[in-house]
Amino acid sequence: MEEVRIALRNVGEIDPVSVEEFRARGGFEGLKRALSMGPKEVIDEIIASKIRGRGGAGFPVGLKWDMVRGMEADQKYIVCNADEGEPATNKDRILMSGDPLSLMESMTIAGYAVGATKGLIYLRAEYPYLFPVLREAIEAAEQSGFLGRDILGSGFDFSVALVSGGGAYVCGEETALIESIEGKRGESRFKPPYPGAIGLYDRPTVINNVETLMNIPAILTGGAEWFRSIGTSDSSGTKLFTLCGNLNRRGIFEFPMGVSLRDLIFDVGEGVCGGELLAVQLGGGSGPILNADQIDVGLEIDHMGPHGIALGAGGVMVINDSHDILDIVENTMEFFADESCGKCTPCREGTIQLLRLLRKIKSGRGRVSDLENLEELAEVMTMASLCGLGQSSPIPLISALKNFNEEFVSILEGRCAPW
Amino acid sequence: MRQLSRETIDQLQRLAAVYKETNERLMEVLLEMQKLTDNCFDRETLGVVSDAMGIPESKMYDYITFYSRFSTEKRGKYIIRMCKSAPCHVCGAREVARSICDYLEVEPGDTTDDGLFTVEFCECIGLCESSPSVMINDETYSDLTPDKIRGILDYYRKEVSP
Repeated sequence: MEEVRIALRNVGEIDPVSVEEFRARGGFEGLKRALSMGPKEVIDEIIASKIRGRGGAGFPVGLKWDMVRGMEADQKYIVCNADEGEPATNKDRILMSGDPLSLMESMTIAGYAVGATKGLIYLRAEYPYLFPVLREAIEAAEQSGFLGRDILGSGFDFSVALVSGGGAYVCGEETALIESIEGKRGESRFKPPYPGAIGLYDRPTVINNVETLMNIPAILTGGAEWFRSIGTSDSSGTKLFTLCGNLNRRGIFEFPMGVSLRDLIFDVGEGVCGGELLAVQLGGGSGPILNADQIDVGLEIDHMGPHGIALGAGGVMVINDSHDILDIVENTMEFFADESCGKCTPCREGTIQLLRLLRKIKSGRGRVSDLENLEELAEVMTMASLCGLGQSSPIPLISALKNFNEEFVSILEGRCAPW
Repeated sequence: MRQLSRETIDQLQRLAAVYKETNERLMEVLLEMQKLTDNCFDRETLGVVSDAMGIPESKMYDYITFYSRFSTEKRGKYIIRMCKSAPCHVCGAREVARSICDYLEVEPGDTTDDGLFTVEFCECIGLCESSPSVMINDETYSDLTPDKIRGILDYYRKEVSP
């Protein structure tokens, strides 16, 4: 299957920090085009492209920008969310290491469009080796006049600074990320107000995922119509997929939205290694766990389908049948119990109780009533948690309960006395 | 109790001054500081740093204990972070972790007697396409097997820290 490389257009093709090589492949042309347009026109182009956020939530990018553009403030910020903590996704690492100049270009375009002069990249602490690359890219862009004061004689100033994470999954959530940049514990804020109104240092702030931003220059050079012609009507453009787990061929691949999950596993990933296909976790650690009969689906942001599929951040983690599905679910639920920030009760207590109930079932001491409790607790967490971490953390467990019901029931029936 | 050397205290105070110039980049400064103090902020270090930065000790503790990169207990020169998230887990991370602990004769969370290694479990380090993976300080090691990781540990013992 042929990849369609938009976000990955320069990765592996150039010296990542060479402005010359970057420009030879059309680098900074998107920025030039933006600067020749009015900020409002830039946003209209982004809105017309129908691009939606690639970090998991899928919010329309143009609308987010337009909201910040409409705010009156003495300072606005562009924040790049490079806190890629979702298990089974590492596309942003590949993008930043292979084409950091595109990220600078994209953030500058965003700044111009919304009227922000400061950009920050919040990079997770687990990628320490990317700091020098990004620092070099910032310097190279500054030295060649594409970043800094009076960019390309337009009178527009824009700077980009790097901020380090400290090893906390929750900081990928936009308000927790803001708290962390401000030098506090990364605990999520109540929303609303949204960061577009009251964000970093209480100023209007655009927060976009790395992959989202990487598409922006291509939209400006190729045009919204071209971008919309790729993908599906729900989700325009391409998506990066992290193929990992028990696959013969793993890696980061870019395909138009709507690509078939089966094709990703058996064509791109060259099939399952070490056994037959047992399950796929889709989207990342907080994504649903599907069984082998559920993979005939096209992947787009809002594809709800019959199996509750969510694209999330594009992780495709394949699990072979040498594994016990309850062990995999336990591993995933341990993750959320570890990573809950502890601010709100449904998530702080809920993640631990879900894990406790699951372990009880797994050890053969479970009762049918435990399943009911699990489902009720999951519902409360989904409805009442403060942020996406708590709201989505029951998804792996609840989807596994549904899609691998037989396994759960046989443990309950086989090993414990029926009341 | 460990006594910080005059030199270390000076270095910490210099870094604190960097932070106080702008009151930004707290994380970066603290991560730098931690490299000078046995990879930890124990009570003594917290006191020194909190004075130098003008941040109450309680607030420093609150911050340090939130982020997994920090520790309040002394750690080794090399921190081995063993990823236990699902993409590593399904590709044999448990066996790799067992191999590391057996070889170094420690349990997860412990530091070797010679103070060279601390072994920790961690969540996803973003090397899913080549799992199982670990990080040793800022270096990444992927596609690991129980044998391969022993070779890497030997390298650290003999070559990096002879």
